[in-house]
Amino acid sequence: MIENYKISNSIIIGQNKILLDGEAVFAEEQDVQLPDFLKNAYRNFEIKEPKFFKMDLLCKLAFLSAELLLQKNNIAEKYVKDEIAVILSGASSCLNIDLKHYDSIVDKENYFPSPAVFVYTLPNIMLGEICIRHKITGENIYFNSQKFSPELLHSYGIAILDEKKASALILGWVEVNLAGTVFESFVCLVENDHSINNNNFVNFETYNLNKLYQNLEKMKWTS
Amino acid sequence: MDELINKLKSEIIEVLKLEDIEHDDIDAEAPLFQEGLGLDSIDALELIVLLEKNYGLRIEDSKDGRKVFFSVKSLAEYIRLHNKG
Repeated sequence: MIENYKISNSIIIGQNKILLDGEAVFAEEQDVQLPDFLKNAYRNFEIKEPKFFKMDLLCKLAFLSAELLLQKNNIAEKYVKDEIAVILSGASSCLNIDLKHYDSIVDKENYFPSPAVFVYTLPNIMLGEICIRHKITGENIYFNSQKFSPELLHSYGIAILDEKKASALILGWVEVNLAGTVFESFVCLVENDHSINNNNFVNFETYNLNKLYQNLEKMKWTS
Repeated sequence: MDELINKLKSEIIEVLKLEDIEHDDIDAEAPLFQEGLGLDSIDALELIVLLEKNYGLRIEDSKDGRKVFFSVKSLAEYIRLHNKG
């Protein structure tokens, strides 16, 4: 049987706003910096994960994106844990925390690398944080690309699904720039159409991934 | 000693990013790991760095680590005994 894959839910975080399935669910003033925005959003949604405050900015953004998506549609309970794949991408990887680590080791007279910073100097860690939180044990991968690439995400996602390596995907783009001042996240859930409980789904296609991502661009113009 | 314990509590909250923990929530005699604050292995490494960076102290014998980092009070006692500053 040829499966028909759909994007069942999506989240967009950017311009100090959070849109869940296109609906604004959280917003802060534009002058609020990313660390405070993430902390305020975490508290607003009453998430209980003490480790959140130890995470770097990239992990916090990815964690928050997945958390709010799964609060709305808990695919971690709908599917076998090893049938959920996490596929994320970004341009800057974890450069923001790399720089913090570098700052702690550059001065040989004041050489105190922080283990808690060092553990986040890999972009894959954000996949791990999501998987640990939701006990997901399926495939996971992080792609580095200069800009959002719906073709890359779609082709890899379809390959994973068609080869029966996964039945559902947490897939998207999570980006924090080197300085930690510019950020955006677009993450969606992909499932078989017969597993979806809402009517707002769209086909899992490059066109629709790009269309949903473009809401981030629209937010820039309306802010 | 009380002053040092209070200083250590503040440093631990800051270094370990215990955002939801208040100063008075930390029982100086309660175990830091597993029970109490529920710290993990990365936190243990951060405490080792804290001890060296802020107090110039290194634990030479790893067997001593378990005793030194048992609680805020045991850490304060170690610093008081070994800090030459």
